[in-house]
Amino acid sequence: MKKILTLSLAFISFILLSVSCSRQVTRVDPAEQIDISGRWNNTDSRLTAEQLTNDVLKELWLTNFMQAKAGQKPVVICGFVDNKSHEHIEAETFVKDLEQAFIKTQKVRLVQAGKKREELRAERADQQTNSTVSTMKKFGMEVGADYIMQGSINSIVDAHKKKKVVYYQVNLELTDMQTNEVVWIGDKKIAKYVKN
Amino acid sequence: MKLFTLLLFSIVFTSLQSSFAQSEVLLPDQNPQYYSSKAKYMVLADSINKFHNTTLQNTYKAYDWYDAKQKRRSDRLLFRRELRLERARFSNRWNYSNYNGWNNRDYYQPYNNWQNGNYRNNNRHSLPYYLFPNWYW
Repeated sequence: MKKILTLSLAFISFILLSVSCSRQVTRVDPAEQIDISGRWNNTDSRLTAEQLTNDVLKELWLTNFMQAKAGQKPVVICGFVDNKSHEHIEAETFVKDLEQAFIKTQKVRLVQAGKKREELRAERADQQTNSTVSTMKKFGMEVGADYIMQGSINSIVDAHKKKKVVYYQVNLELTDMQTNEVVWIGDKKIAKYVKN
Repeated sequence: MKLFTLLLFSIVFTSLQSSFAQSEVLLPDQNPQYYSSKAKYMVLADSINKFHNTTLQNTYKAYDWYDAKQKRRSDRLLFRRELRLERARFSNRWNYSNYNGWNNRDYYQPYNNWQNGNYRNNNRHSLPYYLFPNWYW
């Protein structure tokens, strides 16, 4: 009788423990394609980054600039990316990949923009009164960008009953800061068929 | 006198600034009126540039048939639940009788009497009453 009671208690404890620990978390490869809801996800961001990186570094604008400037590398600054799609999409996930490719390949020089640049200037201002004269960095010595990179994300949704086709188009473009001439436009088009 | 000095100073400063801008050496084919645009954007630069390297979220709501159906369903369930709760709150409106066959609604809640307009709280109605005024309330 005692043995049966012990076994029953052990069984109940096991059931309770297994129920309470039902959540499982496993690490997956970021390159693995996992689609759950059909919304924009890490795979879309990665595919966009790959395509745009390949495009931007292989197009003619780069060689044209280097030929015109006696082998100098162009300096690029990142501007706005306008998300006009139906979902919240953070462009930084693929823009950072692109910036990383600029630096890794050493084909394009990159200058800081936005809030980070503000922070740099604030730190430089702080140095004017707190650093030694020999280490203090001067104002007015920043590198001016030759091109600005801007972008947009658009989407089209076609849904009826339990079927849905979602189309995303991500565009990035490089514009000459001096002349406003657009020298490169890259795009990534993604279409998804979702069936509920 | 002080005002006059300030005014004179501002006029001199502005004229000096504009003459300095005009006296800058123009590049070949450069628009000589460039300084007016420059003056405009020098003021705006800080407020615009602080958003550089960010994503501006101008999203729209796409119509999704299935999502809309799910929403209608959840709204309907919510409405019915609210209706049940309201019916429970105002149960004296219904002709529930106690075991002896007498209608006892006025006995328990005399101030909520739906038949007598002079009583207090008579104008209070539930949300479904206002949503569907033509129903059999």
